Amino acid sequence: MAKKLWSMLLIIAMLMSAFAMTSVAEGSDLSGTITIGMQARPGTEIAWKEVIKAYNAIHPNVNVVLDLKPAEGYAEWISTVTHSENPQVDIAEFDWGDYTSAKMIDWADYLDMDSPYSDGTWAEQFDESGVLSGISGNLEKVSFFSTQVMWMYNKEIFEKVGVEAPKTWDELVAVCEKLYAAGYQPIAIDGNYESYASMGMSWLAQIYNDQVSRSLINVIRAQEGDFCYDPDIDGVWEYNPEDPWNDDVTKVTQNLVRIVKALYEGETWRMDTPGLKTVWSNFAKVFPKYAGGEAWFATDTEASGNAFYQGKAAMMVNGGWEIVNYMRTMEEFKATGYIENENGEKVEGNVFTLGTFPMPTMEGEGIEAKVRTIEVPTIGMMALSKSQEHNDLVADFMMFYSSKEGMSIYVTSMLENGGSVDGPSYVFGVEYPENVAAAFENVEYIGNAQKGYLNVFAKGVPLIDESGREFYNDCYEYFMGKITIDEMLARSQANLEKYLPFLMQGLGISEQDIQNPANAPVGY
Amino acid sequence: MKRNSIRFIAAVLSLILAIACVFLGMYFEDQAALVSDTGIITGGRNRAITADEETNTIYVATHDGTLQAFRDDQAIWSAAPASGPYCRLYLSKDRSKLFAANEGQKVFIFNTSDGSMLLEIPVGRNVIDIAVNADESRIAVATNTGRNKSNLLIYSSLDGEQIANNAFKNTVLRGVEYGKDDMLFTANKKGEITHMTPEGENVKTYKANYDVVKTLMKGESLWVLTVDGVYHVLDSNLELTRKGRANNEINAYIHSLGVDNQSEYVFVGTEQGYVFILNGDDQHVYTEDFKTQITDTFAMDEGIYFTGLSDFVKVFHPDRIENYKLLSNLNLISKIAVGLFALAFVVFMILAIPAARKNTAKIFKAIWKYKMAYILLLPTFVILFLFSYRGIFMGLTRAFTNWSSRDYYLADIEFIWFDNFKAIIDNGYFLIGIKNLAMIIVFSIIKTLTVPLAVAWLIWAMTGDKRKYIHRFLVVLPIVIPGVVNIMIWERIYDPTVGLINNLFEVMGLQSWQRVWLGDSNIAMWAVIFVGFPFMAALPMLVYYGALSNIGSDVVESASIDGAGRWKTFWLIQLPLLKPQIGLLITLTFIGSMQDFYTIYLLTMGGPGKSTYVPALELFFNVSKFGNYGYASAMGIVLMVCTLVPVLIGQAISRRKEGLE
Repeated sequence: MAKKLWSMLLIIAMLMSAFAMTSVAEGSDLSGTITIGMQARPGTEIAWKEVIKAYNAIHPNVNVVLDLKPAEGYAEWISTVTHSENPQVDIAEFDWGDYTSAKMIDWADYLDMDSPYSDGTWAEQFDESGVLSGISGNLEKVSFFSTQVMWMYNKEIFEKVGVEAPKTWDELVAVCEKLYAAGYQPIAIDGNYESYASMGMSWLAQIYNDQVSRSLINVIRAQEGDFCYDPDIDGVWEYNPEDPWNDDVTKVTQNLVRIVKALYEGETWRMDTPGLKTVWSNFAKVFPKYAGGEAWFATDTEASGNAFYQGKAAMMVNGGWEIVNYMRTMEEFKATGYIENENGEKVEGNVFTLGTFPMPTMEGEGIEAKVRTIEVPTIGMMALSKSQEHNDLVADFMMFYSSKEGMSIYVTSMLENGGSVDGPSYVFGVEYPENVAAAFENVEYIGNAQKGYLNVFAKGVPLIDESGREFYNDCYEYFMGKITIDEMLARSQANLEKYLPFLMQGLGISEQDIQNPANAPVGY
Repeated sequence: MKRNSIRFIAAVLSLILAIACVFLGMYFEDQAALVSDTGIITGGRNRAITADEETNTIYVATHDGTLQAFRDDQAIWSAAPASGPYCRLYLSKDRSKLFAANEGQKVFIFNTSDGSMLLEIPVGRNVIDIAVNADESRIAVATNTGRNKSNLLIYSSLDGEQIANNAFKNTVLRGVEYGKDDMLFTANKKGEITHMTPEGENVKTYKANYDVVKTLMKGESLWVLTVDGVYHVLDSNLELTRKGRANNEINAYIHSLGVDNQSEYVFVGTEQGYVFILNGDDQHVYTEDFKTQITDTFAMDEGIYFTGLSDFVKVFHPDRIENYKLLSNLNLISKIAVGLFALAFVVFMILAIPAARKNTAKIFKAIWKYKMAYILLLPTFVILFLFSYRGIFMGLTRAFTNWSSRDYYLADIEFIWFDNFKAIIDNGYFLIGIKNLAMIIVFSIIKTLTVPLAVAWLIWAMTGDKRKYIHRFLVVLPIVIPGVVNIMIWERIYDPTVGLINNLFEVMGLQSWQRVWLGDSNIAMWAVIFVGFPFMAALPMLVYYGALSNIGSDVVESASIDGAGRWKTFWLIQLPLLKPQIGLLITLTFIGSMQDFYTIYLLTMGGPGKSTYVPALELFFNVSKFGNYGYASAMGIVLMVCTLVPVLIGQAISRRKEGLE
């Protein structure tokens, strides 16, 4: 009897769910195929499948094809896709290749539309200031996860040596001295070529460049009459260096032509200012001595991480993603006493307690504001523009993915399947599992230094590899004591002057355009 | 003698005919040209044009804020410069006024007789398009602001008073047009073409489904061009009457639209400068690349006038299409005739001169005799030329140009003569590389001359063929491991944390000897040279072994009988006999060292700093990372010369020595 009853209940439950699906299917008028070509990262395949499953429950006629690609060769693949005539892929990380804005869906078209997956507009589903990036009004990229560059330290070593987390750069130098005297390598940070291009040293260069160039926003912001001037935003904006979020792209528009003009003319924006002299003099008090000596120049991220986890180094500069990595490493250390690196080699280490502190602020000549850090969205999502109908479909899927429901499904599934998060999600209402949330609890948000083009010139002319190489070599010779600070800064300015025209050519900005920064550049 | 004179006359006749065909070809080419230049020069980057057919006056407005009127290619007036770029011109029906939309947030009305400004309307927003109604009393202005806000404003053309201001959210306008009975049409980024009231209410919408790039009113028809290259022709009721597509296989960005006065030929311009002309049957009749963004068009008389973000105004002549093929073919035939007559001239001249005739006959006879050999060799040489020599010749010529990823297309490439070679000297990387390369060459030669020779001799000296075979096999076996894998193994050996060398020192209690082998500029180059220890290269060993085996046991036995020990036998008998093999291996090692960069690329990428750069690595970076192809070609030439000269000198010396011996 009981069996019969259970069977009946089961059948009723199945029928109800089937009816529910039918009613949703009848209610949905969306159909078509969306192809996702994001990079495959740990846990993301299952996470995407769960999101697609939930989306298909609402829109069963939409075929979402999951075609994740490995990181190896992704840049080449994305470039090929971008230049092919009828690419299948829709959503991908096109910023890995040389994409053109004109070929991408402009998310700005949809941001203020009502979202079917929340009570408000799409833009109201997330923290706009974090998600949106771009200048001159281009919004082809959205990212829903944040990360922050921060300092991490081994609490046991700090207690043993009797030092505390520094708040200023001078305090950092003092802490390094004590740690060094106690036989520790004070700082673990990569110092090889890649570090100056896109990792550790490039972060520090940009972060501290920001401290001495905050007022540049007054020069490069869109002014009345500019092609990208938005009276609702730029008309009410006021410069306030006390507010670390004052120059967010949602609060003030940067005019790319004014940026290039300022750099080209070299009157308001230079690489050999007293402020930058303060910054690089401060760097030399720490590097390379406290980061491994001359060996630092061959230290990559793996080697610096090893030094930190092996207890040889007391502090490490890294991104927020390292917090979840630390949790997993400690679990491994507890279980086996070692972790295996990418090559399958054992790296032994001891369990320790992780502490974090924000960027120590610099003081001295030319400092305009308190230090900020790189607090940026990670994993930019872009989509190829096709027909309007198709674009609307892709935008609908993006709205679902970036809703509280969609993002919660994605995050939960990803973390359960070995994935990692780099920091809190920008999507409102998304909660992480308790242990992950606790790990990010003490992370202090101090504002983003990396906005538009504001600080990227601190590491050479962006997108021009030769300029980056010269910047690395000048830094190397400066830190090795082969050239003085003045020579190093003079070379940085010369580097800018030499390679800026290459960037202008790539950006489609001509000398004529510079003469009329209010006009949209045409590059001829 | 008489025959020679006839041949000479035939040669002269051929030359005259060839010259005549050149002129004929030029005539046909000119007549076949579908596009001609008006000769108008504005001195700026042109954005908008319109024209007065009756007075034959052409008005051109530029991105730089200038507006000029031209008659017979001569400027008749210039308006006062505006602060922003012009984007649209509209000539009043009585041809007395010129309405001009300016991206500097203004609309102007000019007097066409002298260019004086009649009215300035400040709009306060970015103007993207304007339209003027039938009685020209109203100007509709489309503007965009911020990321997705737009306005459709209507002004009085009499006093500039604002009559209506319709604000739209989530809409980016692309164009505005006035149609029949003052019907107002707007087009937007979503591909919607809407008939709306002056108050901004939608009456009817046509969905083009792609971003609209241009709108054009032709009679009562509204022409709309979308980003996918499709043009839609709509009647006043927004019903589709005609549709076609520019076949944009080159993926250019569609930008501008034009149509001739008969509404037959459609002109589609692109941002890259390509122009596609389609006929009434939607067939492509003409495609041309003008290398600069095509910004605006205007139909006048029999032609479509067009301009671009450069200083030109050209005319496309649809009336020439009919004879275009015939004239093009005649042009081609003229060119072929020029070639044939030129050939005839050469042949007759050779025949007319006895000495030349004799020598030429001799050459052709020889070729004919061995015709089969030449025929069989031909494919090899063709392939060799296509895949090897062509690249070399291209490199030789491109080394003197600015060829790069930024100036990639032939149109952008310019001769900069010796600038690339000068840059090699100015750029420190190549010269530092030469110093490192010298070290590598010296040590590579030492490595080739020592260990493989010693091992070859030891195996040769063994007794028993089986034993010899096993040892030879074991020594040669590692050759199957790819070189890249070998280098990556060494990278792990040098690893400061988990590497074999540092761990060995730790076990031995020699922590002070531990180093970051590839990260210390003082030792990085030595670490690179040490890769491959104990330097047992299989190929040199086999060469030495083969040579030692060929010397013959009788020579060695004779030396032994004469009382020479193993060392003396090797030093005085075997080593001198190995000279040809040693010479060959030195040459191969030298060439290999000059070309090798992947060891350094995989281990240090040239760092730390510039300490391990070699010229080939700098060449590789300039090709693969920096896109400086011309500069890399120049480096290739320098490297080729540096490789070729020592090798040729070495060969000459050895030949001379052989001769002396």
